[in-house]
Amino acid sequence: MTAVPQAPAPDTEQARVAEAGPGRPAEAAVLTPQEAGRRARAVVEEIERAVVGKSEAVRLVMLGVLAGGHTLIEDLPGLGKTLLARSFATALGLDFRRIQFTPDLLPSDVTGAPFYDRRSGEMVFRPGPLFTQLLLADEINRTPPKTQAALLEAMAEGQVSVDGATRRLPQPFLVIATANPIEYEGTYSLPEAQLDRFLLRVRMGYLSTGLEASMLRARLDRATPEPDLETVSSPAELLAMRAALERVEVDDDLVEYVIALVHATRNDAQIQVGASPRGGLALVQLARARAMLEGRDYLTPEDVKALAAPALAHRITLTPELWVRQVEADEVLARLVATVPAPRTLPRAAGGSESRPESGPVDAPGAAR
Amino acid sequence: MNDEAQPIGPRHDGRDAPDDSAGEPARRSGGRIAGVLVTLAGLLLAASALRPDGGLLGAPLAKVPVQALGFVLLLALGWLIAVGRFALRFRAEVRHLVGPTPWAERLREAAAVLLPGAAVAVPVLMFLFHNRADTGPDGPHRARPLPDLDLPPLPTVSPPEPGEPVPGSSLSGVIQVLFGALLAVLVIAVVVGVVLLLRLRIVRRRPPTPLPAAPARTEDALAAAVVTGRRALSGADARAAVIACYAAMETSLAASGLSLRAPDSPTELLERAMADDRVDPVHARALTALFREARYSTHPMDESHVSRARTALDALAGRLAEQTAPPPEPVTVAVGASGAVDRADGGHR
Repeated sequence: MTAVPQAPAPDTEQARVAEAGPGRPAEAAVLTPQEAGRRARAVVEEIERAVVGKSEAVRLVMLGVLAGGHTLIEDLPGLGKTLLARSFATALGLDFRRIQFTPDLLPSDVTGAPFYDRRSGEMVFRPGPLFTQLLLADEINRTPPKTQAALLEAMAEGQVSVDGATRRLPQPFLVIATANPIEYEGTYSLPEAQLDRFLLRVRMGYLSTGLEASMLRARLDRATPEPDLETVSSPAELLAMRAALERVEVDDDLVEYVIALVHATRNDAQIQVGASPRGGLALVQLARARAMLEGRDYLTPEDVKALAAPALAHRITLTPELWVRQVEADEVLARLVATVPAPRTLPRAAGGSESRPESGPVDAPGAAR
Repeated sequence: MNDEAQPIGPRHDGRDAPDDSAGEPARRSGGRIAGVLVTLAGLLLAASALRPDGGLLGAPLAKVPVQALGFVLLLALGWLIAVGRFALRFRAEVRHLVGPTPWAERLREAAAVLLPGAAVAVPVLMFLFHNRADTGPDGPHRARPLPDLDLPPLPTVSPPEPGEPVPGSSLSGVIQVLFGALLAVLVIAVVVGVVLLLRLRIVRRRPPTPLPAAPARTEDALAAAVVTGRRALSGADARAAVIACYAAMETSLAASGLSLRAPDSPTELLERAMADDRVDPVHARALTALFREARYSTHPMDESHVSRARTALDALAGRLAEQTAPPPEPVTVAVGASGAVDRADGGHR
């Protein structure tokens, strides 16, 4: 693993980029959710120039980036996962590192380790590839749990503790991990605790034949391996977008709706272990990011519904019978989303909480007057 | 609601269909009628035979052991056919059902085991009890092993007086009571099974949470919805007015046959509505967007929002009314905008 310059060596450009975010928050303009959404859409459009036909996956990863979480991309090799991650790094102007996880990878290969400096005669910490802004953890389920766990603290706390000292990671810090869904020999499936730390799980899927043909045609026309993407944002702007996310308002009824969905996963007969409270938080934040990406500063039930499966499916454990019958968590969640009642037409405050359509319009005038 | 239930119906038909096509339908129905007749005859004859004091026909049939055995056989056969068939059907029906509660699941499992058991156990028990009942009435006690062998069958055995207890009949009475109790328990088990089966099927057929149906007459519902939306529009609260407009649109859609479902988000309802070409897509989308803003944001809402909502509602209700209800009256209510307001407000105050 190559050494990565970090905070103690401020003359490198990467470190300056890394410091720009948290160090100068006042310089980044305060964005409204609409403005942040506009810039986020520009980033998405730029990335879609390189990643053809994966607009849904690109948008989902963007939501994860905006919501300040880590993304797990679960799919087969060769579907463009690395391209996706690298395009995000380029378009957002983030420092990018990639770790290829292998069965013999050690935790110190990820986090970095102290080494002996002969000139000074001291042990000096040499940061690992984790000290970056966007980390692509490729095939994370091919490494033993010990190395997987080395990522845990970094992902949850944004810091690394090595040799008794705790070091902050640069901000923003994003992990995009890929995992192979096929059970190979020599893979170590991610434990629930680690899965829970990913804000969302994305599946890429194969392109349709038409899109695949146009992807090949684009490659032939371009005559270069990959399109050159432009940097349309910056780490500071990304942090400002995240700050704008906090100004997306959430109605009380929608909070209850999220809670109802999360509770439904805990009480369903087909689910052994339901979603954690962290799952509810993730769902709300992702839904807010979706609202922002669509240029709204308020949440709607559609946002919650659209993100329920990406935010919760990897957090639930199905009963063994379903596992045998190859029913996917996504399908179970889709069924829950289709059965849990959405917020009613009339807000509770208006007094129409008991029935939705039929007494709604009749009660409404009374409440309005 | 219908389209919810539809996929289930064909599946049942599909499951039954191979049976029908495999055997000749005529033979099958004939067999069914024969089974019913056998069961009925068995029940009637056995009921008479099992009465020690002469049976339904007044003749002392029960005294002839061969005939009694035949009746019991009939009864057993009838029971086996009836309950056995029901048990098989029950198992086939509930095998793939997921119960609403774990309790129902356990009850289903128990019923699936008990029903076939009852189908076999009852005939066996009947034979056991039948032998005892046969020896019972004639011998006072077990002390006399074969009391009837040397006696010729008595043609005119007077039935015992009601008040006078005969030692043998007390034993047979006990057996009858036991048998009756057993029968009652089994009947209750069968009834519970049937009820459970029906409930499971109802639960499966019911769509997630059906919302109350719209008012009976389409025109009335439509006119009422528009009038209500307008009354809200004349109120001071712009937010409530926009929300009420959307609620009126929902009611109009429900009245025109688009079912409302509790898990639907506004956009999902909109998408389903757009599939219906009676719904004006532009205005439906506009009203939905206005509603979402009014309902889920704290943005200040003003007169421009209300007027946009009013325009959209007018256009929607007008088109719906035109296409749903040809009679002229609701069309004038919906389309004649200011008139409707005046009338509604006038009627209201």
